[in-house]
Amino acid sequence: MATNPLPYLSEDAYLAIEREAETKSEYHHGQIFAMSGGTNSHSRIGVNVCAEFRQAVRGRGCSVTNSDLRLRIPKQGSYVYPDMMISRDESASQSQSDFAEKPILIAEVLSPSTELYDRGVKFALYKTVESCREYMLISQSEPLVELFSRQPGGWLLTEARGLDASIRIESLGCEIPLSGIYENVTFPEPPPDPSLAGKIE
Amino acid sequence: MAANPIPYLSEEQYLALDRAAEVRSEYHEGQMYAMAGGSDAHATTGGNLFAEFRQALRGKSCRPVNNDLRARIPKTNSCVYPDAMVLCGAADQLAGKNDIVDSPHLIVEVLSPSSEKFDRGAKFAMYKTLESCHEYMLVSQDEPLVELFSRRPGGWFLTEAHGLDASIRIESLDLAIPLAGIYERVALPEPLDSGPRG
Repeated sequence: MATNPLPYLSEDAYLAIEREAETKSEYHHGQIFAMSGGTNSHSRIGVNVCAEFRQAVRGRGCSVTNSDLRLRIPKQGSYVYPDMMISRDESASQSQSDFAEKPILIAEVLSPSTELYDRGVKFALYKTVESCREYMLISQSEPLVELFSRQPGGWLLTEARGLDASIRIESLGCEIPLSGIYENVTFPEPPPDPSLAGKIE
Repeated sequence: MAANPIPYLSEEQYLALDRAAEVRSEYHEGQMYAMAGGSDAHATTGGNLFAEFRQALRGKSCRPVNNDLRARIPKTNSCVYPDAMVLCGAADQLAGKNDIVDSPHLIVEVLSPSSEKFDRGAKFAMYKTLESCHEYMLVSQDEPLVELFSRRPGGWFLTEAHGLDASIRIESLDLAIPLAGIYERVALPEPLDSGPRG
């Protein structure tokens, strides 16, 4: 990959490389982008949110998948690995075995290196996935979940903040407690109390 | 500011420094942050936005201001300079101060690579705490795209306008702004080629 310009890879070429690769890469506009590893908190939150949703949607004809599964976004010619997806069982069975195409909910755990991407470019990609009714962003720095829900003409943003709060997902008829999403997760120290200002020196 | 730890500045100290300074700074949690200058495209877009809002609001009780005016966000202990704001009514000046507002109705940020993360994340979180703020508008510089977050009971409703033929409708002000006006004489980058390269 040292030459410039980089060669354009077809979807098929990406998939062939990716299926053999030891590390995961995403794919946009003919280019491959390697994914970095996550932090302890990111991993715990990812596992917790999958566990909470699996419990919440059990028996409802939906399946929960973690960040091992690719999502294909045909309108943009992209493949990405969301931190979690929920798909209807019937659409999952129609899809290829190693990528999803019709998730109804996508969740991303925010990190400093991906937050801009998740809020900007990735959300723009996910908006083009017609099956996607809900896009959930989960903070690592505080107990805060933002949920964008597709509605006629736009997206409704709701938030749940604090470990006593729950986030309600109307399209799934379920509610997920933040205490579950953040189980065994520690948060960074809050900024110093302004009333202590000047006493630091 | 070479000493470490950096001393905590009160809001009054910040205001005294910022009023006397040649370059503007924003203020968060006791610290000052100098603002970078903008690009030609950023400045042109900002000027266009002001002009479009001025035209659309003529004869109404609300008025636009450009990025010369500070907004104060009491709940997060911050002062910032949005790219544009719409102020409604007469009582939007803090008592005795004519260079700070704390009740904008609409806030606009023109996105740039260095500030987009902040505008979408931390700044939106700040603006949400301003009860007066009913609309938050993000204007792309990469393509003709305007995103509008409108306050609703229990949340915010996101609508988009895409393309130079589109307009962004702002229900709470009962007006629509054409993107052709927002992007007038703004050089947009070439669209990303989705086909084979080289």
